[in-house]
Amino acid sequence: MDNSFGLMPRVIPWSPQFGMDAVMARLSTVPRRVIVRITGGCADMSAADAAGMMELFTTAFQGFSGAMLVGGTRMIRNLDAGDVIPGITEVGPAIRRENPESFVLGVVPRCQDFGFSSEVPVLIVKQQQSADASQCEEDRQFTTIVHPDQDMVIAAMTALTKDQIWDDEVEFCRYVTDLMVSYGAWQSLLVAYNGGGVTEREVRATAKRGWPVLIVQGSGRTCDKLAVDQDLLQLSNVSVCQRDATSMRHALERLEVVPSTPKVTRRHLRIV
Amino acid sequence: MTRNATELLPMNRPFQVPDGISRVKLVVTDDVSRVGLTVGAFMSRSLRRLGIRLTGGCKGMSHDDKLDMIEYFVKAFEGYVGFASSGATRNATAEGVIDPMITDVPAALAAAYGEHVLTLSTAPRTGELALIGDGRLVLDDYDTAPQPGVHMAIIIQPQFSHETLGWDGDVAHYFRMFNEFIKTGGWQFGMTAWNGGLITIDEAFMAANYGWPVFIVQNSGRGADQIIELLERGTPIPGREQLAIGDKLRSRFTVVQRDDPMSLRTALVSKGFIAS
Repeated sequence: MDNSFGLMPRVIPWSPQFGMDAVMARLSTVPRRVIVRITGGCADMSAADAAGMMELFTTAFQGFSGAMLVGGTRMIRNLDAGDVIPGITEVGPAIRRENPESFVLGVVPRCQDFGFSSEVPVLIVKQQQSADASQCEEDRQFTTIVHPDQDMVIAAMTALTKDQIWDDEVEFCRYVTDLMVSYGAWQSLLVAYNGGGVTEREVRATAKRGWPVLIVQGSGRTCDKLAVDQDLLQLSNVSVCQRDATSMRHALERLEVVPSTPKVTRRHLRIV
Repeated sequence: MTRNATELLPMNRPFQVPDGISRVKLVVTDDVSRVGLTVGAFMSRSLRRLGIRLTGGCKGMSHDDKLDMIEYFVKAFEGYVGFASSGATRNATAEGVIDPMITDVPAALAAAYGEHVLTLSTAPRTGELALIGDGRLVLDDYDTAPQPGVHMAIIIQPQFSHETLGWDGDVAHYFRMFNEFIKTGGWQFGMTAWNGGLITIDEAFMAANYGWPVFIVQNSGRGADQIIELLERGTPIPGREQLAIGDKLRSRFTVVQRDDPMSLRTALVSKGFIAS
């Protein structure tokens, strides 16, 4: 089944012994040699906030023609009905939809054995139950699937770290970014939005490495804390933007992630 | 205007990294995954998704013939924008002068055409790596030097490091990588064959079997001429008697003339490697 880009996304199993020639070959087709890692989370966000997040990113990234490294999952409340729970992992595919020359590579750590759904054509990563007692029983059940709207998906099959399973996603993204920066002379950027402990570790480690980091202030939780962390802000490779499209766009232009002659339309600005 | 070989290669300083490159990325690995990842990331720097593998040898050629060979390729590739790859060695004479080989052609292309040609050398580890003299790296007991005139070199070693590989130890790796770039990245790859021995013959047939256009330089000697003999007269190749050429495979070979670099250039244009 094709996704909304008209593609059958390729799922590439990753292990230290397995080559990723196909991923590298696909990256060689990207017009702008910049790799953007989008990280974070969406806890404590309302549906309206989540919609605002999508609009923020798709507006700010207009004209983007590089590669994105994102969490390769989608959360669904009711598998049969396909009710998507808005989250940060929707951002990369949304940018890719608006910018056909860009490339989105998802990373899915192995939470449990991947499973096929017999009812709907999805690959299940994990079935979970929310601890939020205020929700009704039906709403508390949700399924994490491989996001269908991606160019490629890496299934990280081995535990790369000894931390949380999502740290494996972070570690893999660091590895790929390092390769592209070191051997391909690519530019990199980590964009952090909201997020929790895994996001904080990723931001601090990336900043310490000297790679560019952009923290979205006003997005909540970890990012709001880091955006005022003076030790972090002393580093010249760490930038902060506000949670609005103009601020993020200016930062992306300054970091040469998007073209400096934006085509931001009035329609997009009004929504922000 | 095309410059001659002695202008493009630092003949009296065979181990010098050219100013235009300044630092050659060198990867030594026994990890198949690492070959793919490092070479793949590197290839993304190419300005166009075109690649040429230059294979062959120089046995039986005089020093002047070898210089002519360098000039031949530089002239033929004028206007080429893309990626070029060959073996990863450089030879020097006892007098300390470059003894040109096919593996010097990418270096000459990089010197002539700058950033338009991204260059990669690959080689198997055929001996014990060592430092000699003032710290110079050599690849074996014969003091074979790594090629210093390219942007990146990769030395592939067997997984048990006390062993070494034959001179064809890198062939499967580069074919796997380049073929994936054709399949997934929409790249186009071709091969030139000049002189050479059995490994060159094997490489040329592998490339043709993969569907690559293969440009064979007639009168360059040995393996290249043996392939042409097989193509044109059906003469079996000693040591490779099993090789046969059907019509489909035959169509992938193009014979070009050694005394006419424009014949290679015309063939490269006709196959889409150089804009007409």
